[in-house]
Amino acid sequence: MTEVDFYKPFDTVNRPCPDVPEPSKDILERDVLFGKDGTINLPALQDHLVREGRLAIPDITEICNRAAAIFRTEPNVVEIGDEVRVAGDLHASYYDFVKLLEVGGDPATSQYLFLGDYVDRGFFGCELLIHMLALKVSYPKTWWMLRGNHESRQLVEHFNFKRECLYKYSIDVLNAFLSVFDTMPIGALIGERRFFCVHAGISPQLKKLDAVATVNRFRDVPESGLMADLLWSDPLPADAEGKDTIAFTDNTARNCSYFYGATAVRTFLRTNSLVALVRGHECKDQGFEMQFPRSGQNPFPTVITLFSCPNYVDSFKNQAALLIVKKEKIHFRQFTASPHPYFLPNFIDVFQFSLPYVAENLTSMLLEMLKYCSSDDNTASTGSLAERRGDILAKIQSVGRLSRMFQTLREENEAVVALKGFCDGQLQKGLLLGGRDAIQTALSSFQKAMDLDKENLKRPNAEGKKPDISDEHTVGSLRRRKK
Amino acid sequence: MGNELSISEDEMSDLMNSTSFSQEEIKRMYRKFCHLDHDRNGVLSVDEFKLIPTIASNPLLPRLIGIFDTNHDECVDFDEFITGLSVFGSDSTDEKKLKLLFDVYDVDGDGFISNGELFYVLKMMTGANMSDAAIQQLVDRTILDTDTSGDGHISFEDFSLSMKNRKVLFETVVGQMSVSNKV
Repeated sequence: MTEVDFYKPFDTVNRPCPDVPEPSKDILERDVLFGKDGTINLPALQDHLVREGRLAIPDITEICNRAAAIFRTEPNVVEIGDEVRVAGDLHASYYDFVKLLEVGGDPATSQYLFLGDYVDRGFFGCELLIHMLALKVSYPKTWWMLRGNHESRQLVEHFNFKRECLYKYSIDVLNAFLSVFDTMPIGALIGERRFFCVHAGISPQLKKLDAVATVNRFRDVPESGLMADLLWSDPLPADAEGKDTIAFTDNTARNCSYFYGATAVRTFLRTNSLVALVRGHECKDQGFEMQFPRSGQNPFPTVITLFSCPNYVDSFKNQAALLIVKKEKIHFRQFTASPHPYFLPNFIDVFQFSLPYVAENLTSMLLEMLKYCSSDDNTASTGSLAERRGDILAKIQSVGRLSRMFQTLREENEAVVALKGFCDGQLQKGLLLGGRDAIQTALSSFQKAMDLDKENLKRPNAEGKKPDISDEHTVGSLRRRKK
Repeated sequence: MGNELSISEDEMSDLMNSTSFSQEEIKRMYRKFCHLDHDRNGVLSVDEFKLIPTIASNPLLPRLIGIFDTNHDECVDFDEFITGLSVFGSDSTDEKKLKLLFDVYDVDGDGFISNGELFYVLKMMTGANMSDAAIQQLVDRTILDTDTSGDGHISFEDFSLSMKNRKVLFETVVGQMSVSNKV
């Protein structure tokens, strides 16, 4: 694309970047999606979703219902074979999930286990869930999905998955997904009780593993208790005081649940004859981290954290990892981020993004123009001073006030774009006032991205609840497609 | 009355009919217009707009001139000048303000916001802060979501409907563009 002089006429009609693929206009045909025997055409589905194509809402609910029916038959802790690929948080990064399948191999022949957090933060949670649930329907005994803390009503509302569903589909689709979340198992055992897999970690209420089986999981993620801890807790940070002696302490990073120390993990593993705890829930620079190694001859880690969303929220520059378990042996496969189509924060469109800027600039230019020509306008003027003051400039004074308001709106837009990944949580005001350089510096390292994202780790409380999403729901429903 | 004023009575009554301004206001604005019209040829050129230091480098100046220049002759005559200003006047309507905002994006004035127009107007504003590919993806999706007839561009009806479906944006951008202090 060549530079354009905006004062001269230019090609107004054609797409300026013909090499960028256009999003699909079509809804996937039902008879392409489903075979006569009800099987799902996975290659066609993936091809369609990659092009941002949509499905008919009844077809989504059908996939949800069929997956939920399978989940419902599964125990709270599923037991799976000792050859499996395990992945941590995915967070709506569909294009990285496609890459993950390339790295891990065809799900038709490879067993997979996912540790939850499929939605929020990224922009392709619908595509990811539809594809993953279709895989569950297709391979119910080798495709395993656990529930994460983001698979809850509270978090999808606080973060951006609800908004995504409303933009791309409707509240019915969100509700269909939420119903599936309520059926997902919460733990997995790999092999002969070797690895206990869960989204977040252990709980002071968890002595014997059997306790998990007695939990009623068919509900939203509770505020506290065993199920909440399994989906919210964290290992004590490496720099925490007393990390070798403390068993459990309040989890200040999450505003709920617990930190667990090495002693608590050792006790739990010993009691239940397990080798290690495998969990997700935390972004890691390398995509994985091994913590609390055993002392002595067998330094095997007791906690393995997995994170499978590379360049988390397009900002962390972290790698993603897949844990490959093959009988007694484990290793990690790392992968980096794949390009994905660009979305503005909260799925706003070009008009919502640019109109405040347009209005601000037009009005301020008008003001400046009229000011400029009144600077020596007194000689020819008739009437009193008061009348002169009441001229056209005064008449558009409210334009000036308006202009300041637009400026704020526009600056907010710019801020959220600069800090796009963090926009759905709390923004650090001080940093924004520091301007572009401060933002760039702040994002320059993984550790700094972690610091910036701290607020988003916390469980939102009632006071921190965001206002309702207002009327933008209808935007997506305007989309029409030609059959 | 200044002796340089040269608006005929017919022109004056036309302007008073088509805008919300009084005779006195139109005369005052004519003086302002003449003040901007350095070469006294009766129209404001792009270069004459650029002589106003505080707006010369505004990235949207081409579109400000564009919305005044309704006959697309790349300059602004007094009729166009005062008609454009009247959209911000107290007797203006939401419809007129919406149309003005639509015209910011409808660069060639064919009544539709096409792919290239939406792309370049967004690019004017974002400069180097957003990649061309990202702009193209946003533009493609916005057209797909807003164009109800499926013909690949956005009509004024599509644009109005989209704005009216978004009360917060609509009220912020259009609703408050009214000027109420005609004191």
